Amino acid sequence: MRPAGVLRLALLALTAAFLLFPALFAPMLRPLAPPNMPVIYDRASLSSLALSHLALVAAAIIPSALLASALAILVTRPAGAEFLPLSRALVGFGQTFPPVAVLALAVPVVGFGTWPTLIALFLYGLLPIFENALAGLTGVSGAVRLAADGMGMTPGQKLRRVELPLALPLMIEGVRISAVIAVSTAAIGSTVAARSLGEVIIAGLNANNLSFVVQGGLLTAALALIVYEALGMVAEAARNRLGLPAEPASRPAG
Amino acid sequence: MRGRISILLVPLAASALLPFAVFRANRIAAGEPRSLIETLGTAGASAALLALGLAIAALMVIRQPLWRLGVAVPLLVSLVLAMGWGAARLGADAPTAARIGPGAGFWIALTLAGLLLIDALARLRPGPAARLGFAAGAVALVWLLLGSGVLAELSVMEEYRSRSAAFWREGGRHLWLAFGSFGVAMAAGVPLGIALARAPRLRQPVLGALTAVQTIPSIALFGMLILPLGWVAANLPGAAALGIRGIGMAPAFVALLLYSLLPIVANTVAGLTGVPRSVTEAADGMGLTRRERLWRVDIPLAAPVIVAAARIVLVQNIGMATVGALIGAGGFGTFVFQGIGQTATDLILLGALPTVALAFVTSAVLDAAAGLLPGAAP
Amino acid sequence: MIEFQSVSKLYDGLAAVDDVSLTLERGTLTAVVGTSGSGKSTLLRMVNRLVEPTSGRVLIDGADTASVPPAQLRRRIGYVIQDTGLFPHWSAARNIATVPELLGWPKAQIRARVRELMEVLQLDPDAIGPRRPHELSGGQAQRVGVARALAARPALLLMDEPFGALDPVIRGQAQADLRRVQRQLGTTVILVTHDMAEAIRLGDRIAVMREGRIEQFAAPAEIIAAPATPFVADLLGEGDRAFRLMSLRPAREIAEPGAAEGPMLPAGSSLAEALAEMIWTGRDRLPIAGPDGRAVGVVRRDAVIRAGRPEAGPE
Ligand SMILES: Nc1ncnc2c1ncn2[C@@H]1O[C@H](COP(=O)(O)OP(=O)(O)O)[C@@H](O)[C@H]1O
Ligand SMILES: [Mg+2]
Repeated sequence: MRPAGVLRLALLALTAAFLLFPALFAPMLRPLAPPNMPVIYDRASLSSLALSHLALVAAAIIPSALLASALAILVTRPAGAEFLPLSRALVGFGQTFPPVAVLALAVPVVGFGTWPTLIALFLYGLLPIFENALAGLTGVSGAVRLAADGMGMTPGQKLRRVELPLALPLMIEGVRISAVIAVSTAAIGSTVAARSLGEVIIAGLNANNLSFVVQGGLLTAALALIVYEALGMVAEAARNRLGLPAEPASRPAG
Repeated sequence: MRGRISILLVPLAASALLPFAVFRANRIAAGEPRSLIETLGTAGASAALLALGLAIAALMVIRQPLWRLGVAVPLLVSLVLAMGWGAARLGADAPTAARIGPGAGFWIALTLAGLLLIDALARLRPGPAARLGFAAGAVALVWLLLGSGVLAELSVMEEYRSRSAAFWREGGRHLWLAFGSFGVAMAAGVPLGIALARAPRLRQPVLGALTAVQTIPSIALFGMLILPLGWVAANLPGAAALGIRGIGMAPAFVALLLYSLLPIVANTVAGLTGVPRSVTEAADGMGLTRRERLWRVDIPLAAPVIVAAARIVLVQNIGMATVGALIGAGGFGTFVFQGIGQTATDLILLGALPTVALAFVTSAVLDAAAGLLPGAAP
Repeated sequence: MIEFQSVSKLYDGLAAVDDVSLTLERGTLTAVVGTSGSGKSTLLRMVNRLVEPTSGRVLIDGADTASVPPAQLRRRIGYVIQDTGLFPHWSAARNIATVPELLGWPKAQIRARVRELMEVLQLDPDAIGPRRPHELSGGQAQRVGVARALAARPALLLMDEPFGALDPVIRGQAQADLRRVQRQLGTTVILVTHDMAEAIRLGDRIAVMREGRIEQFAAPAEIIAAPATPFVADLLGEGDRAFRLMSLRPAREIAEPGAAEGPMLPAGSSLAEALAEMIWTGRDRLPIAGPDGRAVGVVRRDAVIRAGRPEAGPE
């Protein structure tokens, strides 16, 4: 197995071990906790927090992906073409909007708890997916489009058989970016009482218990890396299945 | 096919039916809606509706982006002015503790007017110099509106007045966090990128590690850095005197610095390796030394890509610096999280609005700057 | 039979195709030739309604194309473009199967048809069939594109600069293949090209286009013999094209058994050298030497001239 594969497995195994048997790691964290304070977070089990963290991300990103893809399809059809410049500009504007601001602004509208976090994750998740779907759909070469029309595909057939499959790897890449941002924002969501691993960090910060901060931080980081790697593998698998060449190694951001 | 964008005018018109303002007995009380007529009075509301109607009619017939812009900008400005006047009018016969803020109708109208403005701008496709001009004009306009006092009765402005000293202090910290960490990241990241451009074998591991760092959620990295920085403060003589502590600015600064590295390093590598072979060969053929070629050819050609990274990093830093407030780093996030704690909408806005505005302006300026560079793609 | 009846296409008030009327016979190969931007592609795309005429009609076998829904019309017409436009996520075989799949042919029939076509175009079905477009050479990709266009047995094939991206050696082979396949299947072909040599080599008739209009529509021999306008003459290029072509081909290729009078043509001589020798010495039959210097046959003048014409491929 390649070193990357070994690292991924080790990360997964360590995270699972920590979530299921946190007591095993208590001796290592002991020095970080103030005397007479619990070493391992005890107001909820770490595994249930991790699960609800993931559930929050999934519940926001799946509808986000569906809506963003639908919008991207819409503005790349002749009927929606008039909205394409606006959409492109909005993608640019939207990205300057910090996820925390979206979260904070959702609180006055819907109150505390899961909802503002879900809404923030959903809204912020739209952008990267929309942008990548747009890039994927508009990136299909003119010759390929012309050939699809010339072979007598209807617009629907062209979309399903040619444009969507070719855009799929980039769309998954967008979901990956959105999901990683969502893991991060969901953790911050614990400041508005969403159930996630961020709760452990914030409890640690409030109680000056570094052991909480570190275990929450490590687990949240592990969760983000696992989501990132997992969706990377999905994108890779899609690319392989479609027989498309692998992505170039370094692509400039921007 | 043209004219479909007019669909945006429907909710714009409908927004007049929604509450224009929200009245609250005090800063954390529940809001009560106030309609356009209640907010502006019969005469004021009629004038506002007439103006809105005219703007909508104009946008329905006018196709020229420049003219549409000429309608959308005054529409936006008059919306904000109407809000300011309405707040003053409602506040005049209310107790001092009462707060008046924008209602759903205002926000929807503002969003749609904004969309129409963005659409017109996007169709104009202004060059970098024009974009820079637009950004400067927008900043000047906002400055004028805030400075003129017409908005003074709005609840956010009241919130600002009661803590203006803290606002500017946290604002300064926010800038220092975002721009200071960016500066250090540039100083470290560009040379690292240059080195990696020459050492392809090191590229994958270094960029991979930096990607992993970027993947770590901000709150987690902020939190985990408390540990090493606390150790440094306790064990390294002089570190504490420099202001390095486990919590506060230091871990936030270091975290933002770490996040900044990936875009800078990756884009430097991409920019340098993207210089066409024919160009480097021509430079070598003319007898430029490696160092001369780097400074005279490679870096100027890679500059637009590096500036693009600078834009990404600054926008990202400005947003993420907000989270630093959770570990006591200060910044606008202080107001956001205090506001969340007190369910004080105005306090949240006081933190969130300047953050967003700062990110917008920075992004627009750097975007235009990248376009003005000699090596920029046309 | 394809009829263009006063067909025009305006873009922003400018005519890309300007009042073109043409009648193309069944089973013939018509080459449309002209400089870049002269409206060739636009004219071609009006046949399968990728472009709708601003005015005028296009009839196929007497039926107005405007009366057939575009998708249905296009499935009956083969279409080949310069950049092949192969679907990058499908194998070569699946690409070839595109139109039969759209038409809902049974799977077994599609498989059989794909194999058959790949063999006709000299593509190994087992080796090339499963490959993705990015794993094909330029020549292979081009042949897959032709196979894809022919898959549903269209009576009409439209080709838009199909050989433009190929190197000269592969291009010659592809041209010869097209001629062979077209004769074999009796397909009506409209071929767009900017290369007059290609038009002369392949076309039964040539339509020369300029600024959206047809300058001349005639058989290749007639075009060469009597260019209708200075533009057509220009397009034919340097007058010694035939000699240049002849100087590239060895005379030995057309040697016939027999004997002839006079000095022997050296073994490595070209057609051009053979013809020059004939003119110079007033003979119309020359003996030609083999590698060992002894006579191996004769070269006749009419054979030299026939072989010098551009449409003749290697026998
Ligand atoms: N979709 C289009 N929109 C506007 N102008 C077009 C379009 N397609 C072709 N043209 C114009 O029509 C003219 C003929 O184009 P084309 O038929 O592609 O020429 P050719 O194939 O001979 O190179 C050109 O001037 C081209 O710019
Ligand atoms: Mg063309």
